[in-house]
Amino acid sequence: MIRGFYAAASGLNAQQTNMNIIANNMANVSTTAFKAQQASFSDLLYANINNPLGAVSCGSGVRIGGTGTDFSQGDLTKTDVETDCALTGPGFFAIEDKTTAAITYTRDGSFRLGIDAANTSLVNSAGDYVLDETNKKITLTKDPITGEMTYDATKIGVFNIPNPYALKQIGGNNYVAGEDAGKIEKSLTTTIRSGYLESSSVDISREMVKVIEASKAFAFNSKIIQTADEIEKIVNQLR
Amino acid sequence: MVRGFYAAASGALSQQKSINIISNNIANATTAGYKSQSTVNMAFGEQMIARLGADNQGSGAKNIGQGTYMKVLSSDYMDLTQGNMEPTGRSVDLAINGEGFFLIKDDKNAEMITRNGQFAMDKEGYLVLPGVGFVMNESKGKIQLPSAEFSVDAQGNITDAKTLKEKLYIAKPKADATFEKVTESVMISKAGYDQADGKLTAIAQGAIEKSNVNLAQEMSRIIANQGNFQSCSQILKIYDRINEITANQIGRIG
Repeated sequence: MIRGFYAAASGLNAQQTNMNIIANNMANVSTTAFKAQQASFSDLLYANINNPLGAVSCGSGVRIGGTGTDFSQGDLTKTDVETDCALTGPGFFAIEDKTTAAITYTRDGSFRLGIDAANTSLVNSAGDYVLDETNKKITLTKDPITGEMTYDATKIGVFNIPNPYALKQIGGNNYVAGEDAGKIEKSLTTTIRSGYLESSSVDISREMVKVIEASKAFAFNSKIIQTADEIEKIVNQLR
Repeated sequence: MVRGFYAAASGALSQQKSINIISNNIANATTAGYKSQSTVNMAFGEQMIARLGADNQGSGAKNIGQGTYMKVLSSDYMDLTQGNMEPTGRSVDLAINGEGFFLIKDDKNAEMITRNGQFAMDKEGYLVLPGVGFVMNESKGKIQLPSAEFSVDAQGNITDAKTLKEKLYIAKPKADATFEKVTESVMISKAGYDQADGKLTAIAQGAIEKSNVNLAQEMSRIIANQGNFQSCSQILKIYDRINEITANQIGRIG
């Protein structure tokens, strides 16, 4: 079969995945602290055919090499909820899963108080524990005089991840840090703003431009498939 | 057999190859740093055609001009014009505006060049082109950075917390050297590379260079190629008919 047929098919596939990524960004346009993702494309193997007159190099299509996350700061929205926290600058909150005790990282600071059998702790919206800078749960104590819970936002740990681009999104606004992320340490520069939430960093107009680009590229690729098909038809009708 | 039969077949074949290359361009219309390819057709050795048997009349051979047996795809040509810049907001994404390429070395020390600046950091903090190899600095060494918070100026100086760390190696193929695409947006020149002087180069951080494929041009080319392919196949059919007549009707008795 004609090679271009498959090259165009790989283009269709890649553009479809691209569209999925854009759609996910669009769907998360109001998700707290969501960071937009983008597809990175790379071309496939080339057949470099050497003939005496010169080389003809013919590629075999495209694939999505991976996705990259844009960690630029989102806007802060005032919520006036005391336990809502937003990070100004690079850095992440650490979250411990309440059942598996696995540590994940997030920029979503919509925390609240969670009361279990023994303690009152600071938890995120899924009920998982927020950790302080020494990776311990933050328990709150009752003030003996006023009877109110003492809450101190500065206790919440802010961690600096040297290579945030190696983080993996796992849903629930959380990221898992692999080996590639580097040595995770307490952040010295980033501060917490209490009573604010970081909004999604998705730029709708930019995403719309990407949608147009992806759908046009998809259409062009399908046109090529049609052309390749017609050529096959011509070949089959030769006799 | 009739000579034109093979000429038409070779025409159809080279059109098909051109279509493969155009398809690859369109498939890579959104690939960062991709450079559009096009093909050059040429005649496969021009052939002097002489009227055979002219000798018998004693008047000597008479030339009836030049003809070609076949048309072949002789070479491909890469359009190296600048692609558009698209901001990504990621510090590890770099784009070259102007001449030159990033120099990449894989783990077997093979050098290659690319315009695709969608880099990443590995677990030791080295700047890499994912799946290919390490990005090279001026002295052809790996670039190790403590964190993804760094800035790159237009000359390719990488600064981390205000201390000058590294300078990117901007390569260009040796004069008149050919280079070919391999995979993953990298290209290889067998003759090696020189360092570009940097006067015509500006590095942009947080952006990628989009592919320079011109979709309108590619579509018009593919229409032309398809038309040409169809014409060649028509010619083949005509020759086939001629052969049929030759075989079945000439010299038939009764």
